[in-house]
Amino acid sequence: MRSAKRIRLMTGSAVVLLAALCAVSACIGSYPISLSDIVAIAVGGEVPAMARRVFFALRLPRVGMGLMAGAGLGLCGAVFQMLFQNPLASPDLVGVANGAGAGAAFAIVCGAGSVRGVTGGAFLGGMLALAGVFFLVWLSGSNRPGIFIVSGILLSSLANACIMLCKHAADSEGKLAAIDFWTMGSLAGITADKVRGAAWVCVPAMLLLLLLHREILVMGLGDEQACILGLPAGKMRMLLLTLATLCVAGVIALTGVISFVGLLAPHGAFLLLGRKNRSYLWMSGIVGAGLTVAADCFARSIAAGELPLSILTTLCALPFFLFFIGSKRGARL
Amino acid sequence: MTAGLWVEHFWAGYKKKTVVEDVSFAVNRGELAGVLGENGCGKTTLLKGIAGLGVRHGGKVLADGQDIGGMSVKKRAAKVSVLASKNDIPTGLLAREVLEMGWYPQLSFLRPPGERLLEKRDQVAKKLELEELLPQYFEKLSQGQGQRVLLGRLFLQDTPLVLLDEPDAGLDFRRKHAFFLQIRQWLLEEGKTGLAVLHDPGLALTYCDRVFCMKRGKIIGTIEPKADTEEEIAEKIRPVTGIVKVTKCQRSVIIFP
Repeated sequence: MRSAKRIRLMTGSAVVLLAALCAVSACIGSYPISLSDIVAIAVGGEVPAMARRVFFALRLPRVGMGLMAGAGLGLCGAVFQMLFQNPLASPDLVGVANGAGAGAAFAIVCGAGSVRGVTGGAFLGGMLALAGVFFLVWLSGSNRPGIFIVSGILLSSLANACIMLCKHAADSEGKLAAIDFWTMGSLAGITADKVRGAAWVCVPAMLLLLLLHREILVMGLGDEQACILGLPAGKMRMLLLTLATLCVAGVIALTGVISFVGLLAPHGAFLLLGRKNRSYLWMSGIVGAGLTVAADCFARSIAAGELPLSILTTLCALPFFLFFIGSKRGARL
Repeated sequence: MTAGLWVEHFWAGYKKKTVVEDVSFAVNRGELAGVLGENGCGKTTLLKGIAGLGVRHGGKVLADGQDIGGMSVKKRAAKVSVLASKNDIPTGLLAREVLEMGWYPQLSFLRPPGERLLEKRDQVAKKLELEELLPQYFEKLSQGQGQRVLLGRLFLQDTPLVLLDEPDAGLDFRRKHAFFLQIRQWLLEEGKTGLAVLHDPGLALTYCDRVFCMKRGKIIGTIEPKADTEEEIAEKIRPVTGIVKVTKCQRSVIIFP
């Protein structure tokens, strides 16, 4: 079968490309490590002590977080687009990004100086946004996809208002800048501890989503068809949304808002595979991870200081988007 | 013999409006029953109510003697399958993958489909001559071809009660008749029960063992095309179609306005 071969080929080359990208990403930074050093570390050879320390304390966590963040956003983007049968759906649909932003901003303004406080606030904010959406859906008495989208927009704006309020209350030096920087996303200051914390939330959620690929596909047929095939659509949507939001909240609580990856990665995956089955979910994760790691490479190397990640993911996304609109797929948007 | 489908004092509708009121009827096993009626008379709501799809409903519905009204979605999918008139299949799916969704209710979580299901899929594909369509993208198929794949999905779901909502939409003349012959034969061989909402009275009278005429949410008459004379049929069908002339011709029933 030709298409099965294409899936294997594409997935294989994407994984190889991603691995190469990760290796390059581990080299770049204010203390450059050479590729041969990394190979030496991997096989257990002799390397300068400094290079080893930088690799394990800074680069590895950073690349790991980039991988996890991108894969999580990409996978959840694919899940959301299937779930809402809408090519413009992104993991932010239920307002989790703005909710997390509001949580982080609130924590910063309240003077939770520690990183843990801000991360916790962001995660709570994101999950609160989801709870708010579920509450509005319950209030409306209907369980259609459209209600979720409208509720998400509502919660998003509400959270945005909270962010503005926090900014207004913040002093113009430290806190305001901290809030601003958070809403633009960055992998700077990622440590192994933080990655481990996020992995406890994100990895199980991602694995469960990948295992539920059959259900996600059936949900893509719409509520009525899902019910005909014996899948209680309302409950399944709640479950999938909760899993995806957990994953996204776990990511952006640490990195801040990384825009566009969740929206674009699924389209990239579909462009490469031409199919929407289990491999589509995998591929969305791989493409998302690639986008994020690549953007992070530039974030560290273009300017003297660190650039916010969202600027670069958006820049990376633009040519992709143009190509997408120009290609045949754009006609179906 | 228990009826394949037994409906008693059944109502269905939406929040503010009951569309189907106090309907009772029965269909024998192995039979295909048709529902005829004007637009908006509640045919599709009746079907959705029986299948439990997003409409409020009450009363008694028995499939093979079992009450399906209160069943969970998963259990019900083992008893009732539906061929809907409108299908939004996402792009990027092969016809084979759409067909295979029919075995979803029989799969347990994470377990891949067994030998038996694979074999059954191949049988269904052969029976409905789908082999050439299966490797293609579903969205590239014509409406009629798509409908045949979905009929295959119905065969694969393999439930005792089968509901069809205007299944002939988009089928060409030859396929339309082949389609109904296939369904009838399948119902008869496997002792299943079919209920189809149809627009074309000629088609309904030709292929259905009994035809229910609906008007304003009620069943106002039952036609048995084989037993009833041409005049009786014309008389009973008049509230739905207006004054018509009915002619029986071999197996077919032809109807003129």
